[in-house]
Amino acid sequence: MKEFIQKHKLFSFYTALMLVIVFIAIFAPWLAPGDAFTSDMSKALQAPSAQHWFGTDKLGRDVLSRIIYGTQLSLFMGVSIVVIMVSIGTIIGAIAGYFGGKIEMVLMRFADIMLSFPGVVLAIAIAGILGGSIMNTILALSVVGWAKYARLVRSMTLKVRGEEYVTAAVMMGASTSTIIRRHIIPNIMPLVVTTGALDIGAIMIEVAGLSFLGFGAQPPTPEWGLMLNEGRQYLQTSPWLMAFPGMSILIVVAIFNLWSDSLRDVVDPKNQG
Amino acid sequence: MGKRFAKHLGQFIVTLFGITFLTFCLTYLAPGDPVTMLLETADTIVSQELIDETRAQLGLDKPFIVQYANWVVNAAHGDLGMSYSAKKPVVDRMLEALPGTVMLAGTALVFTLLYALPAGIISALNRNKWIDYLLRTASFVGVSMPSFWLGLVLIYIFGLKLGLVPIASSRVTPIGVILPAATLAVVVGSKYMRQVRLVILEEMQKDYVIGARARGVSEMKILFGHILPNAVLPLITILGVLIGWLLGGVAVVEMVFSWPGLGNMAVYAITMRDYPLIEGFVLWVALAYMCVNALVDASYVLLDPRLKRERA
Repeated sequence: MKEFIQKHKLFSFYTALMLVIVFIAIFAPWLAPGDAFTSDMSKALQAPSAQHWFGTDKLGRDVLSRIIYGTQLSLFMGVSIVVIMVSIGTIIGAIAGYFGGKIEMVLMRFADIMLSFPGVVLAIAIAGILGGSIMNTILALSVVGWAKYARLVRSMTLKVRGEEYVTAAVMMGASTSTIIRRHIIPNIMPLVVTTGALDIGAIMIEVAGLSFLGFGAQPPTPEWGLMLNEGRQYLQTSPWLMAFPGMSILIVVAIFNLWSDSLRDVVDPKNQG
Repeated sequence: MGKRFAKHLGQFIVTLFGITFLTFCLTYLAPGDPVTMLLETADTIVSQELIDETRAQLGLDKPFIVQYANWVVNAAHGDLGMSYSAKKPVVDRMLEALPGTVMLAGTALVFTLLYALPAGIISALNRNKWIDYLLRTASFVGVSMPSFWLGLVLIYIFGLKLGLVPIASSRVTPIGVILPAATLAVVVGSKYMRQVRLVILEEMQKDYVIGARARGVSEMKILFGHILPNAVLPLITILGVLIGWLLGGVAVVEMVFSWPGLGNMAVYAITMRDYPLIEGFVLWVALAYMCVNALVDASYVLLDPRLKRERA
């Protein structure tokens, strides 16, 4: 453990920062200094002060508390969407790569369609048409995101499939699902996981973006994108409503991007820019 | 070359059908009824009779697959139907919004190139020096920043505090385009700058560069005579992807700035459940994106002598 930290100082540092975010998300109810949910019109739109560090919003709720609660959703959405799209992509890619032929052609043509269209536009269309909700945001971004992983996993499966240990497993009579589960997936996982980690930050931005457009989380959920949308009309008089949620997104996304960059360097030391 | 073209055209058509069909399925599955939505906005009491009549008029009473087939046939004739919310043909509504988007995306592209190309090249040439760290940090912040937030910050600083630019123009003006274009350029350009840097770095490590340096060729000559010409192709490929980001990012940024373009129109169309208009927007994005990629492909043939020989 100590050796690992000394060898990978940057990675350990970013991991610690990331754990701080996780800590904030888990202990939000205890960390929030004010009331994030109950509206109190007598306190509406107060500027940052000793009592409300980040000010209050149009319903008199404490902005800092709402930002702290917002960590929960942002983290949950970023991680769960990446897990879902990586899982779908891995399964489809592994099946296509392992079986080849018609199955491969149909699956990969499907992935090609998804990849030859700007994903953001499709995600906005899906989430918007189905109606703004957290479930639909997850659905929209997963539908758009799996294709990249299917392609990656397929090409790696093709490579692994030609290895001798797979041929040996086939000769020993191992079933197809065993081979995919025991031999193919473990071999391609490191690269898939690091690629997925690199996407967490971008997904968090997209989640906030959908909420900002009104196609994601709905009021009164404390969500950073939604808070920006609500604060937008008070830009002139209450700029703190815009400043703090945006900075939170920036900081959290930056930490995840730094962490995943250094994760890649740890897993694959050759690939250093 | 002909084969290559045919293959691309095939893929192009499959994608067009795939993406429009998917959107059609979505509008079919969606909760909420566009007909009641349409009539309710008219602020009158709506009878079932009127609903049924309008539904038949819009062709929404027909089976799903027939509706899609009708749409495809009409679209092939250049008729994308009537917009429910604008009460005029979808094509007309889109042509109104098109200049705004073209101007915004074009300006953003120019800004992006002006920022990302020099920054990426300077960063690569000064690898691991302070200017490299500075530019990389800047691009890193740009990548981690949501475009809509940057837009709000720029409106606050340059529009509200300094009063240099109009905050929200509902008309297309040369001054008004600067802030939204800069917003897009920061976000997209930061991604591109990192790619430019990597491409140049990779090219710099090739043998011919070391050879040229050993022969005493000046660094400037190596950069402009050797590295850049060789880096053009990968840079153009990445540019194609980047324009996809631009087309996507335009929707959010246009909304922030109330810029009268197609993206803003699409967001409004989605809120209004104006399905023909949404379908038209999706078709436009697909066509625009594919044209860009076709251009990227064509530029290979023009720029890469090896492919030119293949054609002959």
